[in-house]
Amino acid sequence: MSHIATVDVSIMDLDSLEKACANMGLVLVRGQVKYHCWGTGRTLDQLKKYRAMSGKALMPEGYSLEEMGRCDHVVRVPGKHGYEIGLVARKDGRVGWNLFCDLSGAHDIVEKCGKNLEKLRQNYAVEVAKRAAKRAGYRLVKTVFNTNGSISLVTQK
Amino acid sequence: MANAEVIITINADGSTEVAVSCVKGASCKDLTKDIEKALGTVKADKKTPEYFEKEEKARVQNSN
Repeated sequence: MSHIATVDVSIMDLDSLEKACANMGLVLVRGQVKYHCWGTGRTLDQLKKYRAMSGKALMPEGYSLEEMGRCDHVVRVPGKHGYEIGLVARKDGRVGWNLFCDLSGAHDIVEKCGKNLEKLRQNYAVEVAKRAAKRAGYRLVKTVFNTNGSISLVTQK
Repeated sequence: MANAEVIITINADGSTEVAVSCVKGASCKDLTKDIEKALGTVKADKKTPEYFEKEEKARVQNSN
């Protein structure tokens, strides 16, 4: 090895996300600007009251309660709850989307995507890496599923 | 010379490492920059002894 770069993966490529979703039995819906979650069935006043009562932020830092349920695209997760994952534009100056959803009670999402959506993130990164390596002139010679759950793509040119 | 090999390891939490082998010197960075850019933002970059090998030779040649 001559160098090893550790990359903080960001969701930037919808084609790769769509492929990852298909691999996992999920569906990417481009252009759907609302995602279904616990909060979308409630008024803003109800959300504010709940936030004051529970002490929970309800939204990640940098996002307001008014933005709950709003997004640019949606990942649909088949299941009885009908909850969805929203792709919400990042606000930290980086290109791409954050994945927002309500994981409490959303057993279908947790089961398919992991309790922190890590399975979806891993599948997305695999698809992006394959495409980027191919564009850079590399061919995939081996895919290794490691015992620690990681996946290694061995490419050459 | 062996083919340049790039190994991309995607961890279970989605974090990713990109490693290059069979390439000596700083040129290995050029081989992976597009892949790294497509994935996201590089937060750490560890150089191994192989990375410095060619540069060592260049310094020896320059001093003669």
